[in-house]
Amino acid sequence: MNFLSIVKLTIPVMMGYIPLGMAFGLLLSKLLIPWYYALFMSMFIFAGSGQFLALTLFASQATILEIGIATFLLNLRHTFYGLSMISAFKDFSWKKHYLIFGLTDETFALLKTSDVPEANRERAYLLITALNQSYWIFGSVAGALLGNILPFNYEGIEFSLTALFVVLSIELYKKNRLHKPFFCSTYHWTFLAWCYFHLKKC
Amino acid sequence: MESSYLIGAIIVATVATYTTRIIPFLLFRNCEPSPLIRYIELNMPVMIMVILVFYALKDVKWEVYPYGLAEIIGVGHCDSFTCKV
Repeated sequence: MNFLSIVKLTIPVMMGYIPLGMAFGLLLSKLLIPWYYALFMSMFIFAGSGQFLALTLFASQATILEIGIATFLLNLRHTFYGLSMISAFKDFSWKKHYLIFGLTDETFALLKTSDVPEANRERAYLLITALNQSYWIFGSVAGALLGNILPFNYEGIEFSLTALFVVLSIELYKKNRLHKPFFCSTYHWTFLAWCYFHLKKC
Repeated sequence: MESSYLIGAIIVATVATYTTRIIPFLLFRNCEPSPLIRYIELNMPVMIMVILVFYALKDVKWEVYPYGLAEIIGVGHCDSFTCKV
């Protein structure tokens, strides 16, 4: 696969990552955090919802331990992505550590669904992951810089995270043949939310 | 916000995220995952996402005006952003 066809393959991820990254950057600048932290976070953490969660926790001055546990739990789903990539990455060189590092929801979906020919598969996978990360970094830095310049009304921007989760839930629900787990967990969490709501009133 | 707090938090979040991604490669280096693992792999993401939706909505004030109407309408419209398969 040549470079151009790989870029073409990653366009759907670009369409998602640049706006979402910008939302992340805007939220970061709203918290008065310097823009280069957006760069560091997107370079090293590289987890969409994980980074949003980190910002929420920064805002509420959570401890570093809390941030670690919450990020771990939130990203635990990636463990199950990795499970289905073991055989695919088996014969790759040490460079597969970058592939493992960059196994986000979107990259995983792309690697799982795309038909990359056997020859040079490692290089293609590395390029896909690197391109995806570059879109994410670009979006988040652009958002953080724009947030410093433009006077924005940020009210409600935190809803982008709720929307992301809802959209991903619906996507997963549609993709899954078994719908029972969805209904079970919705039922249980509605019940728990109801309990929480009533206990808070007491 | 202090830079030591931010840097520490970023390092911890980086390690936590990378750990979640490398675990399966360390645990199942030489064997194929069992049917149970396959089942969990298939259904766990939905459960986690539903948890996250409730987590994100936990601060909505349902008892005062506008009774979370903005959130209800917003969540209702999320479906139009998903892929039509």
